[in-house]
Amino acid sequence: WAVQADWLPSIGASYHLGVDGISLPLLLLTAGVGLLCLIALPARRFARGDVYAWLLLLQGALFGVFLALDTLLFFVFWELMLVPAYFLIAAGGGAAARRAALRFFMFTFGGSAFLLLGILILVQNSPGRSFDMLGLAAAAPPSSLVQGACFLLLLIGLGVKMPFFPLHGWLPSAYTEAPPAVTMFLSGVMAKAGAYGLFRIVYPMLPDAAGAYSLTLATLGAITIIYGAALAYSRRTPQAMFAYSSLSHMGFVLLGLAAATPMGLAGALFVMISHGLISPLLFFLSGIFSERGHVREFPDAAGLYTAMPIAGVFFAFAALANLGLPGLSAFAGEFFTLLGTYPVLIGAVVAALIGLILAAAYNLRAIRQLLMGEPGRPAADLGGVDLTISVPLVLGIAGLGLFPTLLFRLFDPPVTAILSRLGGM
Amino acid sequence: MNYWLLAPEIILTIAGLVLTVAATGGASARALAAVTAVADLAALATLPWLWSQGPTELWDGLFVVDGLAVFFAALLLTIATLLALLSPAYLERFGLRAGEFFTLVTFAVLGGLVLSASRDLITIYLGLELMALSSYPLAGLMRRDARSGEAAIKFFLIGAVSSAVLLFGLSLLFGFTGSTHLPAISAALSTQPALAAPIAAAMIFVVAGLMFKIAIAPFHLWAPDVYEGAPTPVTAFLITASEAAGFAAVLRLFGDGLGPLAGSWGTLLAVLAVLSMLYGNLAALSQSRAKRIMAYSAIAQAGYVLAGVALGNESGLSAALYYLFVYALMTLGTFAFIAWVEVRSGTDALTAFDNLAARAPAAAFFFSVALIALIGIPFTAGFFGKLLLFRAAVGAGWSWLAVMMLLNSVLAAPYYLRFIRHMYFPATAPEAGAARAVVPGGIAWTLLIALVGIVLLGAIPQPFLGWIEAVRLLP
Repeated sequence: WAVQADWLPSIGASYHLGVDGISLPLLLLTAGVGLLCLIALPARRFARGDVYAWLLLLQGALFGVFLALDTLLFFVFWELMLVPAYFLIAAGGGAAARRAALRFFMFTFGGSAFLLLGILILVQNSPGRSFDMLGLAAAAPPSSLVQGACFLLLLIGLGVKMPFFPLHGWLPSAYTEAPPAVTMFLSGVMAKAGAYGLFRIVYPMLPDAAGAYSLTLATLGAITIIYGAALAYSRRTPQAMFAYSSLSHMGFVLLGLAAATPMGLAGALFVMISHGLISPLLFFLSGIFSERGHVREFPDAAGLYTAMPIAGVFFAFAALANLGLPGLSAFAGEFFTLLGTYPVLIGAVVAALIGLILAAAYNLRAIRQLLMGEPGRPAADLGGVDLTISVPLVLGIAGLGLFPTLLFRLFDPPVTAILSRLGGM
Repeated sequence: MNYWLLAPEIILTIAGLVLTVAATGGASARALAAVTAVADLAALATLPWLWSQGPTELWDGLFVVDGLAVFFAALLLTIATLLALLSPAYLERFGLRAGEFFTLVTFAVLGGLVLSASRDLITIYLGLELMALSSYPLAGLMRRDARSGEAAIKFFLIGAVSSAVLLFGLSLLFGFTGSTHLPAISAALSTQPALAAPIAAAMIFVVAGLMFKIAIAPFHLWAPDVYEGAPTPVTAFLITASEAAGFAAVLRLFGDGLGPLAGSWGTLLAVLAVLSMLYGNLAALSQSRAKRIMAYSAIAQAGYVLAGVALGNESGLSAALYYLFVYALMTLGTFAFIAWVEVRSGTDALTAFDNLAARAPAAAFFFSVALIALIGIPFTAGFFGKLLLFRAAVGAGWSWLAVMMLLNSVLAAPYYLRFIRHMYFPATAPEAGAARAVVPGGIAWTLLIALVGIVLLGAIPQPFLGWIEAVRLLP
């Protein structure tokens, strides 16, 4: 499950790729959701056909991120994500999209400066000066001062991508201005790269710092959950609401990480995957409502259920999944995360529960406002292509909800390995 | 006395004389460009043999063949060849005298070669002056344009003063150590227990004189006006070749001659480098003309290379050399495109770039890759060069330098992105069914070569990096 080749012996970086239980589901997610997004891109809207090229390039870069077992290679693919994402966001058209793309670029590029510095310092302070991840993880960890500094640097660098509060400034504008198909991919897959970096690099290589900053991480996670949920409730368009909802869910991931218990870590990973299925579905349907249902802002009752029954059902399904209905994937993830966090950080659990209540509020309200009532005008329901996109997502969400052990079994070995590094907290 | 060691210089001298004669005969720009390119390629071809001759000195160090000499020869000749590719279209469009252009460029490159193949104060200065004197008229080549004339005069005055300052510093060095031969100077200086006043003065003068040449802040005030006023191929030449030669002088003088004083000049150069980076990047953010943006960007990029030099160790040297080379590629690619935009629309304002992605997709893409390389995105040589510099800084314990370089990388991104924004997402909507714009052959080839170089060196840098690491300063 690994391949290694010489790349840059002068500075100790090699072309090292590999798959384990954490990266496999993410790779499948990238491939699957990526395919769906490619189908979802409407060619006629764009002046040039290069959006497909950019999406493929972004997908390729993400594959690289999830496969890399060499820190420099990881960083190379990480940075490579910037350019296609910039073009994809700006393809939304209009000055606002351009500004959103630039904002995204500057935030992420700035964050990656921190990331690079952290990586360089980490490598500098390790015996052997090699960039190899497995080597770094197996070696004795550096002094706590170095660990602390690297932890903060890497946290900022990776956190911009997740994102979590307060590094999320690029998210609302980017998710709302980009074309819906692009937002599907960004929120479903690209956002996971940051959390993945935390699992892959920070926790194995900086165990003491991870333990020391556990409370800080939990606080940030809790703030993100509540902040995201509260702002989602106050938004006036579906896209903006789901953008903040996406932010809120990433807070759960951070919470599980901070807890550093077996269930916490596994739950965080599960949330990542489940959110990677729910979020694309939500953005896809919002895009359809906006274009074909002519509903851009939240009116009192748009009656879309009557106008577009299939879409309505799918939307209700997705919104219920989003709020964590048992039997659907998000519940398994969130439940396990909270169960894992409860023994160590009760305050954070309380905050998360508040977030869940808010999530119920905004999701149910969305259902009521969009679906109920009398429709204004007729709209075309989901066609064959749209069903091809939505049905797999629906099945995935339901499947993971009913059979979560499929994923949990994959997560077990790497989670155990990470925890043994942390000293079995 | 193996005169074959002088092969590149001899080839260039012959070429320069041929071009002088051909210029009076009224040959076309393309013919003269071809002659120059052939001469440069011939000189390049002698370099592998030259490298195998190992470190040798002629005439007591007035002329040497070592790693550094071969590297800079390769760099300068590559720049000259690519310049010959991209200039004819511009020269023809604006009615510039191609004969004078190519003759002066050839002699300037010759000066650069002489300068980098030297371990003696005299030939260093000689080479520097040959290059400078050839460059001054180049800046004023657009005789009917007032800005070009202003650029030439500014360049000449500042250049002459900085040469004088440099010469004064060099003479102080000679006076104190009793020799113009760099190893002898180095030996004499290493016996000094402390930094004597004359030596400090000499160092200050040399630093000032050289920093003018490579446009490092705060000695950069001439650069934006000169770079903007000069014809675009000349600007490209100044930014790449003239700065490269300047760095060759810096490396020789500081690495070779003033080596024992590394503790003193290291921090000084590092501070100047950071000033350059900050000033260049911040000033570029508010510009609206392409050449002026690139002028300030050149000031910032020179700062990066100087930071590598300031580290004073081998990884810093390798990083600086690597970055110099890829910087030349990126800049020539960028300027090839800017030159085309000027040929096409007569101006270099950013609005002239609007919609070019639709009109000339391939060229716009190549240009974007060069810009992305300048920003420092991976799989381009620009990223790898920056990585080497960061790593050298962190490795030497100068984390503050690495932090400043990273900060400046981030600062620089917006103004490079501005080009991309104008090309791909302009404020004015494109006219439907706009015709494809034609890119002149030479410019297209330059863009392609630059792209291939940038991506190749970015993805598989190892062979080239291995060669650069073999370039050491002579003991």
